[in-house]
Amino acid sequence: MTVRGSIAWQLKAAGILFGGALRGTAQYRANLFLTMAAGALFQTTGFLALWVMLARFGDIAGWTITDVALLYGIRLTAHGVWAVPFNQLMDVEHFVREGTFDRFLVRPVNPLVQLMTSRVRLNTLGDLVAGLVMLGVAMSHVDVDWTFGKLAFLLAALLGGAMVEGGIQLGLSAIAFRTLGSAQVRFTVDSVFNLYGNYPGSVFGRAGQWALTILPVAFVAYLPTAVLLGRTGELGVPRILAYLSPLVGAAVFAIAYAFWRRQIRHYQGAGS
Amino acid sequence: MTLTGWANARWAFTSSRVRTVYAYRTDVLIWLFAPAMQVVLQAALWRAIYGERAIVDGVPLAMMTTYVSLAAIQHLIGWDDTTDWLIERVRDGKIGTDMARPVGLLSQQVCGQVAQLLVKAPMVVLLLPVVVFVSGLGAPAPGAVGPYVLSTLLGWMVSCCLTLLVASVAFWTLELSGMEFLYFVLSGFLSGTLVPLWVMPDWMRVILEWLPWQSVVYTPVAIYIGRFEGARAWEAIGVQLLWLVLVGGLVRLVWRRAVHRVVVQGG
Repeated sequence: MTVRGSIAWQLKAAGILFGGALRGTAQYRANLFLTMAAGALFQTTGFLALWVMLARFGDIAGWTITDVALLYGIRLTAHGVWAVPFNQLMDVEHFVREGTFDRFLVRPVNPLVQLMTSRVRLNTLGDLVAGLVMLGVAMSHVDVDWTFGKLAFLLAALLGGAMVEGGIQLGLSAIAFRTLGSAQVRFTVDSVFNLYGNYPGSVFGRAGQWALTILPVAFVAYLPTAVLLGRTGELGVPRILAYLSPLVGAAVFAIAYAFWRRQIRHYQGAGS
Repeated sequence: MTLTGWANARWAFTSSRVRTVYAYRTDVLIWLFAPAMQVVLQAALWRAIYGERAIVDGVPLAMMTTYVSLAAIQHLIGWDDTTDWLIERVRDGKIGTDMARPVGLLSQQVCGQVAQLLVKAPMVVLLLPVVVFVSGLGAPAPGAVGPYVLSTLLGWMVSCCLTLLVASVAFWTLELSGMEFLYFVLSGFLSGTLVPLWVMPDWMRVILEWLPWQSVVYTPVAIYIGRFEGARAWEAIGVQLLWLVLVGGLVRLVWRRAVHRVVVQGG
């Protein structure tokens, strides 16, 4: 038997809790496919618009439709990788306001794990599936020789991208422990990632590229995609940043988690 | 009921909804942030895609940025929360109280839509500096202002009818959370907000020309930039009228059936 409280024990507990939440959601089977399809449709409308534009104009800032599809696929997959397990962050202020976050604190499993597994939302699974399909199709069409090194970088970049987006959202959700609300801020930041993360940074000029690198939207997809396509020459920011993008993800997430742990101490139960 | 009584009852409804929406004015302000970002993004994309080209399909870049900037605003004006509101009312049973009111259920929703327009239209004005100075909204084509205003009004009315049609789904299922936002995104494409119809491949353009959504955004904006002018503009306005009658009639039909499905529990 694993030691109570150890990492292996936490992982096992997370697996059991996640399975339970998944079984709960899977009760509504008809709704399952509908919400998944809706999620995928929502995420791919922007790409459809871009496809129409490029069918008429050929390229955008030198990027062809397959190049942009690779970028879009990486962004959407990274988004799905963080959103499927971490989607419950959107409920954090609900638990804090209602005072029901208490129960996560008195149980032995990590409170973040309990929050994540409190419910499973399947529209995010639609995002992930759409992302993987787009990534797969783009990978077979782009002019890239998929060596082992490039595939390894792609995998690292996907995880890094997920950690950049997830880390930012985790950090912002921690504000709720003090202010009871963070949804508006998170929604706003999420829309910046959703809007500006899907296009080559070169579209926005040098200043725009720096802004997106600092935010750090560019690390999710633009910078790693430029590395894979061999387009680091066009970057308005130092090339080394593009190669380091997976590590940036890990750093952002580590800082965000540490911040979350600190903010959780400010939680005050509601009521008497 | 006299005419004054009829109008008073409806105004009471509308003003109470105005107060409800206005209570969340900070939410509405933050709600404007994403569209502002979207407009700036669209203009940047078109500038990059035009690149060195001055004119494509007879459309200069400045006309294109005017199109996308104005289209985003028109689309925003057509957005309202009737679907989510109705799902909520049916879910918690308040729809029963609504149905017992002297003003019909459908009329109440229309009052709600007017209320949202009254709150949102002045707020959209806050976006004007962004669309004029950052994304590049230009002046209207000569003689376009009159038909444009009429076309915008018709476009808003068609949009309201389409929303009421989507919202009526609430009477059949409550499991479609997030549908309102999805509809907003999809209608952004169907109405020509994201990409104007003349850029699309022929097969796609023909399909969208035969759907009602182009009446909501594409028609008024095409009139504004002068792509539809003279007789062509009035013809397009005629098509909008036709859609208003068609979709409006469909709304009445669907809602008459829908209210029979309501089952209120407890009491």
